[in-house]
Amino acid sequence: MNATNSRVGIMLTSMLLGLMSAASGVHAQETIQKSRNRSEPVAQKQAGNADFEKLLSKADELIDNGKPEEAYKLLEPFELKHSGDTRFDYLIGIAALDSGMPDKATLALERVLLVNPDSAAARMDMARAYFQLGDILRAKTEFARVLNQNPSDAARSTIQKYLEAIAERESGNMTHVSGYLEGGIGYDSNVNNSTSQAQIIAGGTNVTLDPANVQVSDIYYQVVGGGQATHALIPHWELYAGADLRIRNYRMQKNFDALDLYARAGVSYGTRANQLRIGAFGWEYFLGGFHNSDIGGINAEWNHVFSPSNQLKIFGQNEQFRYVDPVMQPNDFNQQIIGGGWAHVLEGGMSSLYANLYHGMEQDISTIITPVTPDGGRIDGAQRFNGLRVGGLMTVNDHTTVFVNAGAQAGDYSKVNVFFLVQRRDRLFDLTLGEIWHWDKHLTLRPQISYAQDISNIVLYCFDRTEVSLNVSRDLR
Amino acid sequence: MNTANNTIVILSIFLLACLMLVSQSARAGIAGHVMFVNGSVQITNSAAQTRLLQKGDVVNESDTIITAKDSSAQIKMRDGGYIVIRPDSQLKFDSFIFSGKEDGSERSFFSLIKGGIRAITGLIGQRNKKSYRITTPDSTIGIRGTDHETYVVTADSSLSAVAPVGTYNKVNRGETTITTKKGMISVLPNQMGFAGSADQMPQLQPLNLNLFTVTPAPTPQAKGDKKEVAVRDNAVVDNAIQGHDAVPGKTPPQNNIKIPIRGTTGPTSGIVF
Repeated sequence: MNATNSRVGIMLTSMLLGLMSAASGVHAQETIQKSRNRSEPVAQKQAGNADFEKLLSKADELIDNGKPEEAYKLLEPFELKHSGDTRFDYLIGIAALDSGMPDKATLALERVLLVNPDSAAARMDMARAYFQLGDILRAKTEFARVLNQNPSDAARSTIQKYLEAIAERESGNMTHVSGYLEGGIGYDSNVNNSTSQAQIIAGGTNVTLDPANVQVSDIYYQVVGGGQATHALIPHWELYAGADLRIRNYRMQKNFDALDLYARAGVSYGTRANQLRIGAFGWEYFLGGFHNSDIGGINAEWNHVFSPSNQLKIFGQNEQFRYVDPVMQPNDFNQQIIGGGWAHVLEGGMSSLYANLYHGMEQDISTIITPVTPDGGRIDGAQRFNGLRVGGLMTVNDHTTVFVNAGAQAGDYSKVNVFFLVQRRDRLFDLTLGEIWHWDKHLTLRPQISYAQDISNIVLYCFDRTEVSLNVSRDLR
Repeated sequence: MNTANNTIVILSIFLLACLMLVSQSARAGIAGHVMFVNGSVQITNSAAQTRLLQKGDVVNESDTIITAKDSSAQIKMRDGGYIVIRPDSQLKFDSFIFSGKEDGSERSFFSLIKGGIRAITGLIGQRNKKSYRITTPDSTIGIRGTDHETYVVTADSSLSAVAPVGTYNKVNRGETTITTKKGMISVLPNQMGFAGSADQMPQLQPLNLNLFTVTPAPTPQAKGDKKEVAVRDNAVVDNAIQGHDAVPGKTPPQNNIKIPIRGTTGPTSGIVF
């Protein structure tokens, strides 16, 4: 019994010692860490410094390459260790800001400014973070302080835009109106989207096309103007309405002078992460001085912001396309399009990319019976099509932005064309390259070149078209 | 001898039980770690022992942190939240229990005796709002959200020169409540609630920037009269202010209607050779 009691006593004493050590472990760990830090050999410290530099360099690179979320994930586990180092704090601050976490950004940038209140870079991003948080008063204070520190012209221009937005919010103005006016001249290699072949084979015989349906080039001038008004109803809800008018006149090909008027109105709901817009639109199109066609429809678009650098878009549209000229009315159709897209901002906001995929259907709805359409509808019938649009925008310097847009669409029709004895299949491609030169705050110059091509199995529909234009645009705000 | 052995066993069991309790409370009571210290900041533990707070230090339940004028600290809480303690402030970590998940036992209670704090809440309080609370001399702040700032202006505080005595609460994200004996109000993002005393109904007031501007101004030397200062000219978040989303190429609408084939003569089929 004695021996047993002794063993129990020894066991308990040993457990006691174990628990004592466990209880003090939390505090001991800290002491051990500190003593480790003190006794850390120089070589180890140097290795640590190299690792730290590597970490900062990697994070910097990720942010520059438009991957702020990855940069934040990389830095966050080291926040406890490296906070207080202004370089680390600035990087984790902007990584958080660009990832849609302005709250965490302000914490990190605050640390930078407490250590170095003269850091204009940290203050500029602190102001951006406050703006993102909706704290416009503090944003205004910090932007004003940065302006006093003599930033670059480009930064001044950015700050000015923020200050204008802040002034608008402060004024309590519930209605916002903006507009633009644009004038341009250009060369169009194919004003009528027509084939270059004057003679084609249709119905087994050689047919000479009407010159109006053969490719012809010309130079043109155009004037475009438009505006949009939004009115805030209640928090998150807004009404919008807008219109655009475009007039294009050719030097020689007056039959293809065009005028189109596009009007839209609807309601939008927006939060920080989601924007939903539902509306109706109408389009009137005049060609060669005659009212050619009308389009009316409804559309909806939902944007989800995963982070300031990543946005998802889902959209849908239903429209009715109607010709005014009875001769053309057999070609009337209804169209539905649904699609989705992704936009990604990279290089710290200097560049962005987008891609949209869509699927569409057209129903030929005309009841007009003609010799070639005994059941009504279009000669080629209904169409189903799929398309992809991609593009990008890059800010080259304070005054210059370049952009590129490209698209591809494949469309298949339902009926056998009685003249060509095939079901029409169109493959459309287009590419636009341009540069926007910011003359001043409201005035821009835009040279651009675009190329479009339709490769169809029916030669009548094949065409290619190149346009080169120079446009001057003025923002009206 | 038996008696002696029995005494050892009983004593050991007693000590074991005591230490188990101590060990448990030590683990349950760690509230967070000090992430950043600027200036002179002190920490006082439950045994009234005071020492200077340093980066990396553990902050435990019942500790009180006191910042001197022009000094501040940031604490990373164990539940993933953050607490920033502003200059000339005194904050007590009344109770902090967190098992790693929201199981109903979690708790994060603070007392702000004077000065200011900013709290970005972590897991605690996300589902069970009653598990998070800040008590001030005048009121109680509850949360229904994630990011808020609270100031207690006392008569002896330097802030009393720029704001009346009382508790101020500004919300950055989410929602908070301010409760006094007279009632409760909700404070929404970018609103500021004020409780003058425990016997007054809290009310919303315009934001007082004298309290809520936390960054020090640049020094006079920083006015870059001669040389441009380096800042990010463009950031991804600037898209919000450029009047467009991230999709480029929002130029005036282009005519995407294919110009229909027209002729001056021909059949009525709509397609004209």
